[in-house]
Amino acid sequence: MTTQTAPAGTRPVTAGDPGRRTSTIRLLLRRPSAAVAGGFLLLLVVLAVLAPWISPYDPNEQDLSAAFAPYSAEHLLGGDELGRDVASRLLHAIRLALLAPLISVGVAIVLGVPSGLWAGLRRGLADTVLSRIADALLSLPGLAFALAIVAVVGPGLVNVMVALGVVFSPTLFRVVRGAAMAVAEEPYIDSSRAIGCSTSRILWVHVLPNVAAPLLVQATILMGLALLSEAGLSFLGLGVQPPDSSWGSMLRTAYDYQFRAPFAVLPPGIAVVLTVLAFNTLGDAIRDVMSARWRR
Amino acid sequence: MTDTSAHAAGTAQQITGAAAGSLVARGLTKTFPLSRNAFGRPTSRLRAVDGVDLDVTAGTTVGVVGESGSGKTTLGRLVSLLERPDSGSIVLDGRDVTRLRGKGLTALRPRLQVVFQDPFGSLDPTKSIAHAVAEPLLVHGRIRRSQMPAAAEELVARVGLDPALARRYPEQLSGGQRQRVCIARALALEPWLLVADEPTSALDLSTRSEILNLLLELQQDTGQSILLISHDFATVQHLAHRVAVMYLGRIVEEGPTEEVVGDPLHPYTRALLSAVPVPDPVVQRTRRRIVLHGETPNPANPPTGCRFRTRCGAATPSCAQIDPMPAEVRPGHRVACLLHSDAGTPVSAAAPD
Amino acid sequence: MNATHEPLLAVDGLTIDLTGPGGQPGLVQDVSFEVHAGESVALIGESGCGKTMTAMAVLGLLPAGFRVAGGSIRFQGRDLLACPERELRSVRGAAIGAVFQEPMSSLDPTMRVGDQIAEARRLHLGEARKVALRRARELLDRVGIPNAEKRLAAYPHELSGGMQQRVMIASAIACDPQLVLADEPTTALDVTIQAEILELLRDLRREQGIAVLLVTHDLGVVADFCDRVVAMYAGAVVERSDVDRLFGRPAHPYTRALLDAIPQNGRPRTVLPVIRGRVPAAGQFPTGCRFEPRCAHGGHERCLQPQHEAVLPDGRATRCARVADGDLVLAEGGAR
Repeated sequence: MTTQTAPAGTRPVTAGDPGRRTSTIRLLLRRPSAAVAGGFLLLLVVLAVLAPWISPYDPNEQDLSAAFAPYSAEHLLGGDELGRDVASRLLHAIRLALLAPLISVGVAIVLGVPSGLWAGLRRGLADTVLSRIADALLSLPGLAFALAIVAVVGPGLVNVMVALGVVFSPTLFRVVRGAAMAVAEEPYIDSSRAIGCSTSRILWVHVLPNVAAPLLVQATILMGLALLSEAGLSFLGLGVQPPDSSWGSMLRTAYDYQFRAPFAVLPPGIAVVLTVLAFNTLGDAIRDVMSARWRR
Repeated sequence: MTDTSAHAAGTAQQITGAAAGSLVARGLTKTFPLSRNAFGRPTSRLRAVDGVDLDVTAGTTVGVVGESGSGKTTLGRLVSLLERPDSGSIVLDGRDVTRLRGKGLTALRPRLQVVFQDPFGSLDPTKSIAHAVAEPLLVHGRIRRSQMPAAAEELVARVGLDPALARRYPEQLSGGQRQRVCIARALALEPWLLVADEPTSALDLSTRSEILNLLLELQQDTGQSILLISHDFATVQHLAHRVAVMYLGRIVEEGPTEEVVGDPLHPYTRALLSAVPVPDPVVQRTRRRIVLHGETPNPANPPTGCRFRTRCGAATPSCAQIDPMPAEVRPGHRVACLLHSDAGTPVSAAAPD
Repeated sequence: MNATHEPLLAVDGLTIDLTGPGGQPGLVQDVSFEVHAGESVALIGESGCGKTMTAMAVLGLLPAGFRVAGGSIRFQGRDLLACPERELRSVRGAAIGAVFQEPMSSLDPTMRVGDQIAEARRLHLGEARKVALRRARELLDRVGIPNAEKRLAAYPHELSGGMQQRVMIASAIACDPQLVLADEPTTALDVTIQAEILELLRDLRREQGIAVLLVTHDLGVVADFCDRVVAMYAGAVVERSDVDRLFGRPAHPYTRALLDAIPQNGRPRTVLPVIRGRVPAAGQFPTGCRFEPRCAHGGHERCLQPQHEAVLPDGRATRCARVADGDLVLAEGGAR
């Protein structure tokens, strides 16, 4: 129960660093893992935007003579079961691979973050109610719940991603709530109350920026998870509907024809793996940089 | 300042003679639940502040001294309206502000501002110094967002810092500089009362004098009223006109600083002062420390009668029978001790030990 | 000074580097002092002065990134810096006991208090558990913990801060050390508890002749408890003196300024002298006198040269060349 003097004698030199304050982005870029992961994702964005111009063929153009064509100069990654160029399909699917996680994580953020902030700061009845709802959602098997939603509203990428967003939101709620609870104990929150800040101002201006680190990390993890889930659901035929294709649906057809073209899983499979890896690596780096910065 | 209030526990009092520019607190009580049963109802409570009267007149500094568990920090939070008392009243300039909520409370905030102990944690690390000191003005609509940098520079200069520091972030400032920034932030709204909770405890020795000087300057140049909470008698002696000594949630002695320190009446005050080592070995060698027996009682279960009796060298049997109340023993100097006055509430006969 | 026998602890020319980017060679520079048997020496200074690093070096517990770059630490004649880790471990905890600032984090929360005290005896003296526990009980009694028998089985969190610190002291003296190294042992405690802990240490010194090296920033504690003082600033020892003369006739501008900055009873509500500027950050120590930028008497060309310790005729040591020459005479008396 001692709340006595702070250990002035044992702190490291507290003269403060009058030098320039390096921005978080720059700190991030100095780490090789973050630079590579970030670069890769940036590359994906560029490819997605340029896909209509740089893809060698129309992704839906069928050429049965090239069905199951091996890797060749004409078809860099070969042809699929209908002779469509795999490389082109891969390129065009990047857009979906990036959009889909954005939709679901976006929904998760909208549902989970404001409620998590509120519950973490205010506690009490609101916290109890929201936490129980989150617990209930978390106790449902995620993909099965998403399937149930899709069964009601019908298949399609957007529906599936929104359903996934709902499934992910309790995780974000938990993370934000926990971080907000810790921040709520900090003297600067008390100070904000003392000068007369309203609760909503405290939440948005003072709590949210200080929970940004764990939030970003969790969000990047969820991006990877969303991509994997989309692939899985498209694999089941519930996500993207033909003639659109995503990496997941490409995996589906590769699976269907695995005996005729065993290596067809490689292009979409590797694409998914690399992208998820990039998301997770970026998340790790963000966590490392931000926790080093805010450590007193 | 010379009211003697015979207060029955917790009932609101008619405040007489509350002059303009004063803060009068009567019967403040605050408890915290320690443990709860299965239904969440508290089974034991900690009485952090248990019936405290406090007066602050305009332009003076009142010091509150106590050890851990004395309730001084909670008292500071009650006076600055960060917590609501369970019972009692706070009257600011004749207006009862105890039960204010919402907009009324927000409108009152500019009059009571706080400086916290920890300069490292008191500033939002994601905000610049300029934002920190000018935010109070923005929140209360006294300036627009575009005027924040200019206002910040002026506020920062007022506490003796280089205005260029306003563009920096807390991590780039030293402990002393941060504490000045916190003071600047608290002064932005020109509060009537500044509650300073251990403002120098977390700072180096050479920085403490800077902050003390700053507070002194504020006191003398602008007539700022200050409630100074500290465990360190030296700090309080240096700044406060009056000092109140707290033990287990009660004020045991209160009076002009020179009197309380020079000739303490309450046994706890005497023991506390004798335990503070003086930074002068020749003097220190000649001093005799008053030894307190035993450990501090459990704050959730204080002794009946006088709370201090279990550790007091001068306790008498009646100390267990009567709970002493502060009584004015000399002009402006009040003590809650049976050795000095008879004022007190008898403990009910059924109470054990 | 009484130097008829070999000092118990002799630190000579200790230099510690902070390695890595943002590092500082000579973070602790050329630190020398002695502790004789039975005496109490204070290592004082503010945060960042290197006193804790020096203490950790004596214990061989320097954190990663800190490297001893020179000097020696002789304990009972042996150079601890030259000892292999195994030998050091037999010294640490047995001949040198340690008490740290935060008892709650220095005590293992999952281990009963009695076992923690007994651990030192079992490790160093090879005692059986029962025997060691019996001694632990005696120690708890000795350090003034009531109900010692029952408390043996208590966990640290069941005790108050003052009691925890007493337990720490008990485990520090468990093997009858010659030296106890206490790093801010009372900073986190209430002032009445602090007085009791200091009294306990004083009693132990008197009864068992234990020497105490007390690392602190609290000048009141120094005045109360210590015989001699070693004052540090920015990694260097600026003054070594006995306690009466340190407070009465400081031999370094930093010590003088520190004494002046203490609020004193006699003059309430007066402006205190302030030491302008701030402690230099690691990596930015000046090459000459490290205190010069903040010194009221600075600016001389003597100050810009590297300063070395000089012993004054009356036995005090100072690192101010101007004071050593007699060129600078500091005001006497306590805080003015």
